[in-house]
Amino acid sequence: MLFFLLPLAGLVARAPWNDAVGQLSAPESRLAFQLSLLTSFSATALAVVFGVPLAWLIARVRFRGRNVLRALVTLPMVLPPVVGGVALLLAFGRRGLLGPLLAAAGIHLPFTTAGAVLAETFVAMPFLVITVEAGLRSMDLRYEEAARTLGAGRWYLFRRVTLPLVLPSLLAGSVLCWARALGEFGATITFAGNFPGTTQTLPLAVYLELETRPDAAIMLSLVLLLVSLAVLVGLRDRWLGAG
Amino acid sequence: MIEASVGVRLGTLDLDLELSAADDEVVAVLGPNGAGKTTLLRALAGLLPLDRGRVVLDGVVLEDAAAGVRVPPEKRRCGVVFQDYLLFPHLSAVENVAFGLRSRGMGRRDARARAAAWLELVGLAGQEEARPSALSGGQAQRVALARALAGDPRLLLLDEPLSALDASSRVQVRRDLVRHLAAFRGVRLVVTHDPLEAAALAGRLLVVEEGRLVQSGTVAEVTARPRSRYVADLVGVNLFRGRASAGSVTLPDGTVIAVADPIEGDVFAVIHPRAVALHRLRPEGTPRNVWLGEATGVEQSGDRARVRVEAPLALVAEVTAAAAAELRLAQGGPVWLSVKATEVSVYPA
Repeated sequence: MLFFLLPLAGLVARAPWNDAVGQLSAPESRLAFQLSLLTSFSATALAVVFGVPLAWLIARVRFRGRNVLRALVTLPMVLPPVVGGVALLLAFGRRGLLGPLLAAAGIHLPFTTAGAVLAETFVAMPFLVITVEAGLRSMDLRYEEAARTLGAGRWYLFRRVTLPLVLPSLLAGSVLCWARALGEFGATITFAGNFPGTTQTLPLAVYLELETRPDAAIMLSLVLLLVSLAVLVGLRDRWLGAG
Repeated sequence: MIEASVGVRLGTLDLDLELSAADDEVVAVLGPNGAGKTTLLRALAGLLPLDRGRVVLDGVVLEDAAAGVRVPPEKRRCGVVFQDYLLFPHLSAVENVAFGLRSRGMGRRDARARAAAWLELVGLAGQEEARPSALSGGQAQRVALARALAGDPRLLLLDEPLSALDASSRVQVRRDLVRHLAAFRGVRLVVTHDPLEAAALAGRLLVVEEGRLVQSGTVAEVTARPRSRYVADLVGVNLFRGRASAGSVTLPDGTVIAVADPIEGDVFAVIHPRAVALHRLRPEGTPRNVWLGEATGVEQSGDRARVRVEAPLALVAEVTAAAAAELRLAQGGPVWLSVKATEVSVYPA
């Protein structure tokens, strides 16, 4: 208990409360804030767009290699993020597998904001896919059957029945995904680098400022802690309420 | 008009039966739990593919396993009222009813207007915006019925439409259901395990047990001549099956029942509990069936008592409560049974 509480207490105790606003509104901090909000929300949006169909595919369609696909989707959750970053470099980097192709199309991902979004999506999307898939699995399939007897085709059925019924899971998954994207460090710094304004997100700024401006680092850490707490409280009914 | 032969294997259930139903009758599929009734209904609705057989509705082949023809459920004009209704929890009552109209391409305003009219028809005017969770069981049942009917189906399937209701609302809902069923133009099939419900809603019964059709006919026909232990128990009579010859029926275990009917061959024999007389001493006189048995249980209801007796054959006898008390049947012990040959009704198996 103490082991978990003490670091938090340290963070709160050492926080420069009298200059809190000043530290947070410093140009570097604000830049990191704006960038983090942009990249984490973009990553979440990408994860929803690609993750929901993926979750549906894994939950509902029987096909060869389904378990492999599920394992593959889960992999970034257990993979060290820095390894993810290296892997992304080797896939989308200049000399990566798709590098020449992307270069020919005029797309440059490493060390850009788009690259930061990609890194965050890679690491955070599994949280969304897993949560939505679980929601789809626990759904009463007979609602979909009822909808079919009422003339609903596949797309109408998905839009009017499946999606609304799985919405709580989708929301929870999105929040988790967003929180994970916001805190992403390893894959981002490896794949996208650490350039203020383009790829220096909040966690990266914390790490860097710890050397030069520790007060700012502490305040930024506190903000990230508050976000985590808010997510925890927001989703507590899902995890604790049922138990 | 529907004509179907349905062959489906599902786990331990092996459903294999034929049925046909015309537009001018309400048909009830009656059977114990696990008999395959719901499976049959799902197969007709297209929610479960047939392993064998075919389904033809109004001359249109909906499914033909041998020919590989299968119309998906959304293209069959088939309204289903599910056992627990399955109203979409995230939609209001009127949106639930409008769902089928919208999915088939009707505009939002028209669909809502039509759905509201249906709700009014089933007596739910003013409940349009209610969520399913806010509706009583009887109201939910009526929304489910309106939802199934709104799409103007040719085939209406109801799965245990009253079983989820408590006794107080059941009578009213059943009366309304009879009215709506009568107003519907098309094939009407009600699945139920409740014989009273079947008798109240339908004119013809199909009795299904273990995936097979064991008996069909009007309520009166089925109850007069049960062809299975299940129906016999529902009706409350003793049913035996054996071979008839020269005025007696021989059961598989060798017990002989004397009958008045000169029938020959494989038969059912029915003995009504009231036709069984009980005595502590061996009865004198004319009855030709006399057995010595043991009373193993007495159930009293009102001024009648039903007595289970283990004799060469297991029988239920119904006597007056006074007689049961006088014979001290509750204490068990040996008891004589007698049944007149003329009281045993016999018909071909």
